[in-house]
Amino acid sequence: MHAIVDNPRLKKALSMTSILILALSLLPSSALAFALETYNGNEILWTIGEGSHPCGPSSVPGKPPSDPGWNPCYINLAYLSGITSRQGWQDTAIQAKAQWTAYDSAYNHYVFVYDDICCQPQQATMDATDLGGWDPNTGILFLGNTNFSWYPGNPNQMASADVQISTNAVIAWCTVHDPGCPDSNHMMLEGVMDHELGHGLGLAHPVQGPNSWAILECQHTNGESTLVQSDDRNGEMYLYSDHASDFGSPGSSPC
Amino acid sequence: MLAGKIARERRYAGVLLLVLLGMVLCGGALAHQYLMGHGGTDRQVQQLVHPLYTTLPQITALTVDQRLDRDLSWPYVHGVLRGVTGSPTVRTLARPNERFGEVVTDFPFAASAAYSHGTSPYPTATTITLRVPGGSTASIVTRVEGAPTVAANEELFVFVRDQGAVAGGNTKTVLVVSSEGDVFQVRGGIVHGQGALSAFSEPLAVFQQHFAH
Repeated sequence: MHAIVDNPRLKKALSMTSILILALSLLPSSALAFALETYNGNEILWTIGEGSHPCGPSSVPGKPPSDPGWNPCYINLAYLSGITSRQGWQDTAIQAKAQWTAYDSAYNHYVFVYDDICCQPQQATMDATDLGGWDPNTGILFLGNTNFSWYPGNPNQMASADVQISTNAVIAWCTVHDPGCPDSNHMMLEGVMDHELGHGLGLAHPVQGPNSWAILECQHTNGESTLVQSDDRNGEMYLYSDHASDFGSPGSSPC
Repeated sequence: MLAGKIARERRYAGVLLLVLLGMVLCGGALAHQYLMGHGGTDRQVQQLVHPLYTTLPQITALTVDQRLDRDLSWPYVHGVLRGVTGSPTVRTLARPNERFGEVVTDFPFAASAAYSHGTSPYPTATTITLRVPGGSTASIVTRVEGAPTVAANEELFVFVRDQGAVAGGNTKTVLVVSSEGDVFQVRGGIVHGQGALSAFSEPLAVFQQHFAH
């Protein structure tokens, strides 16, 4: 060991390797992990508040982003009767909504919140409906979906995002009020809500495909994390912060 | 002198015409800008439906042949229909509280044979509506990920199963197919799967045997 450390060529090689490892570690840990909703090669973007609620530093010209008056971007979310009529579902949705609250510690301000401010245009909705049972030939069961609409152009202007959670009888959901949720017999409702609300803010299924750990992966398996992960957060910050390049760059969605 | 006056009046008329033309053009551009800023549009709205799914290991662990053998034993599979599609009609189903409706494509489907354990879920020798989520109208284009691809004048095997409320759900005269595994195409005497099952193909006589027991 002593001989290896004293070898100047090896020391130089080790030193170069250390620099390379350090440089790689400084890159965003999940660069190319997230993907954005796109159309004709362009991102599909919300015009937050339909132009009446601008966000970010441009909302207060001349003020730095660290100013406490910096406005977070927000999307209004309305719960429809499928959610409000089921015990524990609205509370679970509120918790899922809070998962996407993004705070930028580098600049001490909030970047994004899902909000339900009274009387503003409702840009996103969440409802529950029966999305059918198992497809016996593929083994697929739909748990939820997001139907989002946009006006094409450059940029493509998002118009609405409507989330639906399946109520099919073959799915046994558990909510934030159920102790021990999830277990081997129950799927955690919050995980699906987190996923769909991620689509609602403009994120697509991530680069790694169905077996990634991100909440936006296209296939959900019981027992997986139901929290927004760093890849998901990078995508969110890429979209809504004012220093997008610090959070990696988007890749293309495989599913 | 009279000729000079006429020429001057003609010049004034020309200028007035140009001013009016400018006002019309600017007004049109402003109106267009106003519409764009207020959610109005003169373009087709685009829609994409992203599903989140899980898979049942008891099914995915089987080969496609084994899955087909067991299809009619599942309580939520009511049968399989064989038939031919006609020309499609695209319609928009209203959805309460949503800004845009649900676009679906309806095909006339002349069912020629049915396979089921009990009574056939739809009568044969009649034409029902085969409904596929998504489609394109003059004002909206909807693409539904995971939905099957169906065209006019195709011979198909379609699965009758629990579709919930998707695309309005199954009714006495409407059969919904919402997943790629719901539809198999017959081409040249060979039955083909699509999407996740696109590698599957089998001679017609062999395929039918899956539902003969």
